[in-house]
Amino acid sequence: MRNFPLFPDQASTFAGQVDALYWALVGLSLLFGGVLPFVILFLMVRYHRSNKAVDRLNQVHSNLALELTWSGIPLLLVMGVFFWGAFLYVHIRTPPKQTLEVYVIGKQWMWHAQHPNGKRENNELHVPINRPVRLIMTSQDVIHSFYIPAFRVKQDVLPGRYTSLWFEATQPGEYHLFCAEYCGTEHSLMVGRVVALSMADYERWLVTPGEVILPDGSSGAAAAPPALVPAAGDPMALVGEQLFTNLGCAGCHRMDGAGIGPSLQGLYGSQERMSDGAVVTADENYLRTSILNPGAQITAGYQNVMPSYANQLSEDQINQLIAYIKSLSDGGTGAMSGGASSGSGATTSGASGAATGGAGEAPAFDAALAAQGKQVFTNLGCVGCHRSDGAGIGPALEGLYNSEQRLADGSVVTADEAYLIESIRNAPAKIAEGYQPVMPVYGNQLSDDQVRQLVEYIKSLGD
Amino acid sequence: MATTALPQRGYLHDDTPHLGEWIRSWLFTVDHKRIAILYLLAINFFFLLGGLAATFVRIELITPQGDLMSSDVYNRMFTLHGVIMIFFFLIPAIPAVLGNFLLPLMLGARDLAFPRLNLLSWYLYMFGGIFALSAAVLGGVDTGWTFYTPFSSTYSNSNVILTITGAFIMGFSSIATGVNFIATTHKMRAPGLTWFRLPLFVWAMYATSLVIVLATPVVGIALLLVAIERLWGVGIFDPALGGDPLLFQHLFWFYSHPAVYIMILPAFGVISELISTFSRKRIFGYEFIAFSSMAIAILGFLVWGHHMFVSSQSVYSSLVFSFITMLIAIPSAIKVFNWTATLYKGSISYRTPMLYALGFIGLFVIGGLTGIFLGVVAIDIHVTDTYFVVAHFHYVMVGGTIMAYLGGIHFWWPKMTGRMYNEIWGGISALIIFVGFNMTFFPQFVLGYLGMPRRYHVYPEEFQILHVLSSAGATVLAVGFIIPIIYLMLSLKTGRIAGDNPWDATGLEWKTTSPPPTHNFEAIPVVTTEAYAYPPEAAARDAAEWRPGSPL
Repeated sequence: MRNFPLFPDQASTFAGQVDALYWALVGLSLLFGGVLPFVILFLMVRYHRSNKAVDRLNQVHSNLALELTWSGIPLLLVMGVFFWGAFLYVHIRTPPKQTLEVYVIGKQWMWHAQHPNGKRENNELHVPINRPVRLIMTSQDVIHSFYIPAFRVKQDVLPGRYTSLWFEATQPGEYHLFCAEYCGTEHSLMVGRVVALSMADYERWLVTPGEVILPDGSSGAAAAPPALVPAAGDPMALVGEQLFTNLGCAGCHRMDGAGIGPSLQGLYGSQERMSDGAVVTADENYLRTSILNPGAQITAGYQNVMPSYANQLSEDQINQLIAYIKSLSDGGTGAMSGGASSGSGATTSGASGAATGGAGEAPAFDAALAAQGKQVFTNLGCVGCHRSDGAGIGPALEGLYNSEQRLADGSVVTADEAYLIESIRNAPAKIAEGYQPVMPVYGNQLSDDQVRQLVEYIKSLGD
Repeated sequence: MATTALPQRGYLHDDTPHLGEWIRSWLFTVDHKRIAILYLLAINFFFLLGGLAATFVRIELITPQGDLMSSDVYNRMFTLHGVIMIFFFLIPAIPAVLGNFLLPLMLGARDLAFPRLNLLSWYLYMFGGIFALSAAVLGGVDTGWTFYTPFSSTYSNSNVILTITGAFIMGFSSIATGVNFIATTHKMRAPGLTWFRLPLFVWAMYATSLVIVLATPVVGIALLLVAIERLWGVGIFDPALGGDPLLFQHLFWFYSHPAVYIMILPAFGVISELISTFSRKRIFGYEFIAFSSMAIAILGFLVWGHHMFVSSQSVYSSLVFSFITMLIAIPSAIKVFNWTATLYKGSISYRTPMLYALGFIGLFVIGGLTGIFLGVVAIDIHVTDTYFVVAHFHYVMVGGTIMAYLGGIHFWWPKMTGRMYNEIWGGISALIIFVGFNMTFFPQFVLGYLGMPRRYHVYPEEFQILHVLSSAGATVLAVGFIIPIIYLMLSLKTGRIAGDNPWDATGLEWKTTSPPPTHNFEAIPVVTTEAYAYPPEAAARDAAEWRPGSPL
């Protein structure tokens, strides 16, 4: 029977529970669907017009008691089924507190998963048995659906947000992994296997080298084979922390809470009050939105100054950032990152003060525009990195205008207006020596007027 | 005899010798009966086309590999099958053909309230159909009939716009028919024809029309928004443009779940007529059947979320939608029980329409009960988007709507054409369809619970035996659908003259000639009795008069 199964494997804690309800429903269905056809067959034969021996007089054409009976009994039964199913559903949708979290990215037509220690895999999912596993999933393109029949779990995977599902595998083995939501040409090839292992085997697998395709590495063109990268890497939280530092997030999101952005320590899972009075739970979707569209939900007591990182981070990188932010709420793991970003000295209010005071011998500039530029500079959060004392992760801007700047590639340029504009619009083009390319590309997010204002402000800081 | 002439004054009769005028007399007719015939031809054409696409799908699925066609062609095939069958066959089938023909006759009216609107609805249907067909001819569309975003709005490289336009235009055809039926039922009933004297088919048409008029605009909006996003990149559904992909699913299912009832409510109406006529007695629990149609029409608007249990809808919404889904099982059960009770103490004959009606009950019970499985969220998580769902909705739509449609066509064929079809071939093909249908779709329940996802071009080898069984059943089913086409066509030439009331049925449509004259009735009838006014001794007398050799 191996090649002709009639019932799926039961390989998770849900499988037995779902199947019990299923068989109960099959039983109830047989009660109606199995008996009713025979009642109809009996009536068909007994009252066929060729049978003259039966009484056809004294017909009944309605009977309230009968109607209420055959409405009431099915109603009670379906209500029973509903509540049984509802409690089971709530259980299936409520993950336990402690879960192993695996990040899954779906794309046309491939699954990509990354485990907390950084190990990656394509079209496979290795999980330990007897341990609740929670998948945090998103899609890079269209809607997919992550489906493991043997575990009786399925969850659509949407672009632009996280969905999650959890399960606890019980039987070591290999099981089908399907994409269940139609997603285009090779939908039926977006399949793979789930490998359930004992904890020891899983831990061994986690450090096994291998090669994978990154989710953003093989998009579209089938001409060139996608590049393979090593499957093992640094832990997600660590890579996330590096990103956090490189992007300059640390300048504002100071762990001591003194930054112009809120501290992220203990944020994940907490209840946060927003500036509009709403209280939201800081889950993965909240963190995601706050990175990609920071203006959507502003924490009470803070300003809308964070730039949007939409289109600048891959899904992979967002996952890593979120893994890092979540590690700040798990107690011990977060502590290692605190020191790295908080050693940068003076407060931001001091920084803006110095910026004002530093305008000693200012060149000709438009004072009105410069005042507006200062506002933009603050609102965009530039001050977090371009600190006037030079201790920021971006260079200080005092005396920058018209000075000779040595760049990272060794060349020397004059910091004229064109240079300032280019550095605002497309920061990575010319990186000042000794600094990292971490400044976001402001591209078309700023109007020409705003750039003009910023340039006048920078000119006002002296040459 | 077979060559005997039909009544000269029938609506089919033309005395013009010119072909051009004859064509004009059909294409510019405002006679509801002729429009029904136009619909009959067009809808059956689309049914065959949709069936052809299904044939290719089933042939491909005989082997686990993709060997007959490429993935892209396969995806276009099942999309074509779905779009054609849903929008151009199932939704208009019973209302536009049987409803159009029968509603005025059953109400004792000379025509529908708005005859020209009726003709317009046929042209809209054809116009929409031409768009959908041109999309297929120009390379097809690969989104599935559900057009889920952002795949349909951004990623698909197929003729989405043309197909959407076709469905959009077709929606207006539905709305025109719905408005017409509502107005006709309210204003054109014959003297004495009170609401509770209406045939249950009219109640079903009325409930269907309400759903059509209220729900169809929403899908029109949803499809329009997809087109806007696709054409101009306005961010509505695609998160990359700032949209919300779930918004589309809400809008789409707000129509498409009620659309399921647009397909099945008319079928309920047909079955009520058939069961009563061929039991030779009044329908059991008339009011309960009538009101259960209205209950289904109303509750049908409140369950769309049960298509979205795994779409990331909140737990609480899912529970509410699941609860209402459970409730909607009850009015359907009420109907089935009342039909069964009607058989008791009747005089039952096994004429072809009755075989379809009894087959309908059996298949609809399975379709309805598996609907409860899907309404329970914990089970739906496992089986949604698998062959379990595919099997379920084919039981409801093919086992339900198509069985009722064929039963109704056979039942009213003598009224529509004036001639009888071949009863023996009728019975044989009804049985072939019943067996072929179960062979095709019952294995798919097993496949679905095993985890076989729908819309899969290639699949794991262990599912092959069940797929082969299903494809074998589809062959039988196809034979069952082809036989009626042959004998019904032949009956137009060689069929026995039916007479006004071959089934000895009640109902105003049987009181006029077969085929009816253009204005239906010589004089507007006056109604003094309820719809199924069989005398109390009708069943007993029918059995007493039966002799060996009479029809079974």
